[in-house]
Amino acid sequence: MATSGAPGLVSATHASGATARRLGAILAVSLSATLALLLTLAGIVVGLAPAFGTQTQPPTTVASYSYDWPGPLVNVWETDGTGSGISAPGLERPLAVEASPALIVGFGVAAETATAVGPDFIASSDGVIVGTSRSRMVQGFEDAGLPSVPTRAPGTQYTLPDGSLVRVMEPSGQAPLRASFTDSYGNPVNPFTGKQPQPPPGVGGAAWRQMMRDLTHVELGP
Amino acid sequence: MIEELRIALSSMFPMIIREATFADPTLTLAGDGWSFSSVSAWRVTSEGALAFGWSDTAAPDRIWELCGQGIVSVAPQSSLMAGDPAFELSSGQWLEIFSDHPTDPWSVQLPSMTFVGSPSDPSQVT
Repeated sequence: MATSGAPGLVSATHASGATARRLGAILAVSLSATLALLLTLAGIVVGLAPAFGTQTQPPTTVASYSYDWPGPLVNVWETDGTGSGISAPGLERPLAVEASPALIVGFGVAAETATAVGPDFIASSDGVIVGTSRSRMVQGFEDAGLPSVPTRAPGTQYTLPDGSLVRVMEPSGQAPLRASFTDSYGNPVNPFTGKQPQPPPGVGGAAWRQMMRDLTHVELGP
Repeated sequence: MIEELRIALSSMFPMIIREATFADPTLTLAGDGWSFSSVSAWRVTSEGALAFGWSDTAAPDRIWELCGQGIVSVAPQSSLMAGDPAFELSSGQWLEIFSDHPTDPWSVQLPSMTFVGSPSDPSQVT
């Protein structure tokens, strides 16, 4: 199940299983590098697919991701000795992925078997991690004793120590199960910066509003 | 939803607007013990005519005109889709909200409850 993410974030589907579960493989993708990365991957896949046909992953493959971009599936795996990285079918070594101060997308690296789920968490370069599991998120808030109030439409709003708010909102109409990040007034904020997003130059109107929603909400799984 | 909101706010009327800002697309109003935030379209009407709205280039300045006014009532913005609020101001003006997206188009923060617009859910618009 591909999940939509904020611009600059890479959405992924990965195989999850009971074995070999390890969290923490971090795929670092900066906002600026993301586009270049995806274009690079697109070029590689488009270029290599005819030559390699059926994709054969190395025995050390522990994860497979499909990227939310218009193109063929790109397999991503972690290889022994080189740590986490992105590889395209047939490449001898993972593509270099540069970390940056911008955004890091973290994936819980998982296993060979296979129930499609979304990414386990999303993380920033300075270590801020936003989980995508509703149960884990809520458990964490409640274990921390964060004050909460009910919401209407159905959900629960938690107040973080800095006064910002996280609403865990149940699905309602077309709106999915989600975490909505706001300041104390209820204004949407980017969970990684704690600030209201600002529009990139030249972006406005509906595109900006959608981008803002993407930057301030995280769709949750169970 | 809006009737529940009205009941929840009724003991707070008039809700004096201490802060009013508009940073496209986010409209913020706040007072003592409450705040309102919206990323949806909005307009202010006066005597049944448009005064200004979110597409007005002067909206970030004109929204300050609401500071000091009180919100004296709330009602459904439309009878066709009753899930959005219209706030009556002490000047006689109305601030109307027009949600056009299902995800968190507006919210009202109160100490014991947060109302969140959910315009695509039939159970939340009656």
